Amino acid sequence: MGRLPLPLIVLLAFLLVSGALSLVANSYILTILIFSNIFAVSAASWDLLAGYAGQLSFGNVAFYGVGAYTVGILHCIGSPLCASYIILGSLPSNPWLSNPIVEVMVGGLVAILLSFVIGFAGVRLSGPYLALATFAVALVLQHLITIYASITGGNFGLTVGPLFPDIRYTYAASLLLLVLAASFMLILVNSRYGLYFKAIRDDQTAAQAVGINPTKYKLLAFATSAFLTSVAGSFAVFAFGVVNSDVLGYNNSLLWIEMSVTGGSGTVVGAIIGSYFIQSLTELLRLSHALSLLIFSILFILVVRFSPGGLLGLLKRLLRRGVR
Amino acid sequence: MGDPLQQLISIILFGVLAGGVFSLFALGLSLVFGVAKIVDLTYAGYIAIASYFLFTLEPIVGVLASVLLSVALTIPIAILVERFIIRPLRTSEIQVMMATFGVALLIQYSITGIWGSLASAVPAYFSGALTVGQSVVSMQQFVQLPIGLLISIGVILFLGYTKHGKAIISVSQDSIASWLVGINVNSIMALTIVLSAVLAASAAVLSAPISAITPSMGWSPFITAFIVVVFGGIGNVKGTVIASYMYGLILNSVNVLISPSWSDIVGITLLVTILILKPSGVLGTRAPA
Repeated sequence: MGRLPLPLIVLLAFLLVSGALSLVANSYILTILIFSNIFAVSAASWDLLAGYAGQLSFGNVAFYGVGAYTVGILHCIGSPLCASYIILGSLPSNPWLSNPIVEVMVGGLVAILLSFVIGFAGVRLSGPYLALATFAVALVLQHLITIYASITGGNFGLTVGPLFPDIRYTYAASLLLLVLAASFMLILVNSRYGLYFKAIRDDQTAAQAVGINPTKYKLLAFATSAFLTSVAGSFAVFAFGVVNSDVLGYNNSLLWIEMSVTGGSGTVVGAIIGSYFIQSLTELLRLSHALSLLIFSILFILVVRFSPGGLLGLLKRLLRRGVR
Repeated sequence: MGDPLQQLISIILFGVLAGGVFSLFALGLSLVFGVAKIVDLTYAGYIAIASYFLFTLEPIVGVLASVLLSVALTIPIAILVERFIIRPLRTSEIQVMMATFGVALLIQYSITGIWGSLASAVPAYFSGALTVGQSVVSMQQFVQLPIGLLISIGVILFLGYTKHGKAIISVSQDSIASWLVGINVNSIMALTIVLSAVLAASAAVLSAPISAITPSMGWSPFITAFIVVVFGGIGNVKGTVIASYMYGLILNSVNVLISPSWSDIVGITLLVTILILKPSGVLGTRAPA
């Protein structure tokens, strides 16, 4: 065990505690844990894109929304739940389209296509320009949802009904999703691709000079992040059974950034810690929603200003001091 | 609105009026983001907090005093943000952006905590309306045009012809060389940020009575201002002013000829297209840093 890197130990401890908690938790706590798992995947995907490849996206929620709406729309075709308010419901149903795996994959593919459009901007733009451009793309999607209300259900959204019969199954599936996504990302960032990402982030010219193609790896980072975020979005629909334009709200993008940065960006694991930390703190401070948001923004400023390594970096420093 | 002449009149009238509003919001951002190259997202916060100051102060101290006070009260906030957030992080553009983003959220959530999250309304302080053809424009909306023009000319003259204005330009071009010739770089940066906050607050207090005010109200004008700054060319204040009016005319053409719900989409698509095809802006010559 002594050889395991700290982030991995922290991650395993987190998953064990989360799993153990689920055995004794009521459905209220389970809902919080499910949200923590879903947002952990989204926040970690953002971290992959921004923390590793340096592509500061403020609009990852676009991918989440694509995943969620693809499931919503495909599931609604021929579904009696949707027939009462949009045309899709009265179309003939197709067993292929209501297969969850097919829906998730279609959503992921659409998200990858969208990510190439945004990634193309990422090749030309850097820093704040890319941030604002991605932010803008998410805004456009939200407007389109409202304009094409006959397909998307507008602000009211689509009701597809939860996929799992019991919330415990939903929790188990969300944990599985998190473990799979996190393992995939950790393997990716520890492979040579992770090194290419970091090289491009730190000095694009130098990376180019040693033969790394920035365009190719930026697009790869965008596509991976988009696919995983889209899967998280699709899963949220399966878990809670509804999709509406709130899933595209810029608040979500901002929340994932807060989670990832607070937990420690450029680590993947930090985003997962951040997600659990912020979600549980939100619930603990339920007394006042405004107050908890206020505390998060202060925490965020303090982390950026004084501890760029986030909570994980802080833990590392404390442990190192303890060893000495 | 079937009459083409009437359509043309309303496109030009409301386009120019919108341009005046855009220029008000975009000038401060052009200064801090374009000229000084500081990505200060607190800008959105200044817009919101100034509107709420006006909302609270107007019934107590009257119109003129509350407008001046609301603008003045953003100055200490800007000074604190510059001294404790932007100055220590200035070497990293990304960190400045993230930290000021945190401050913008802090302001937004503080407003929610103090005033609540529901929309409020500030009463119009210019009464009356103008009629042009079949279009009616409220006085509050109309005065933004001359005030916007005045402030635009003021900022352009300030940058081009005063000692401090020239110092801002010189620091933006080369801060080390500016320091060598005796310019206090830190105080010039602080001046730029305070000036941008004052411009954001002035724009906010002028337009607050026109639409409802909410804690997150700053983001929408911030995005518009960003579009306009990019459109006009980063670092080109005159370009920003011209782009404001062009953008106002484009948006209102979409509004009148297609549908108001498409105007944001057209605007944002335009932004992304410009950013990808010509990052130096339609009217700009310099490439963004």
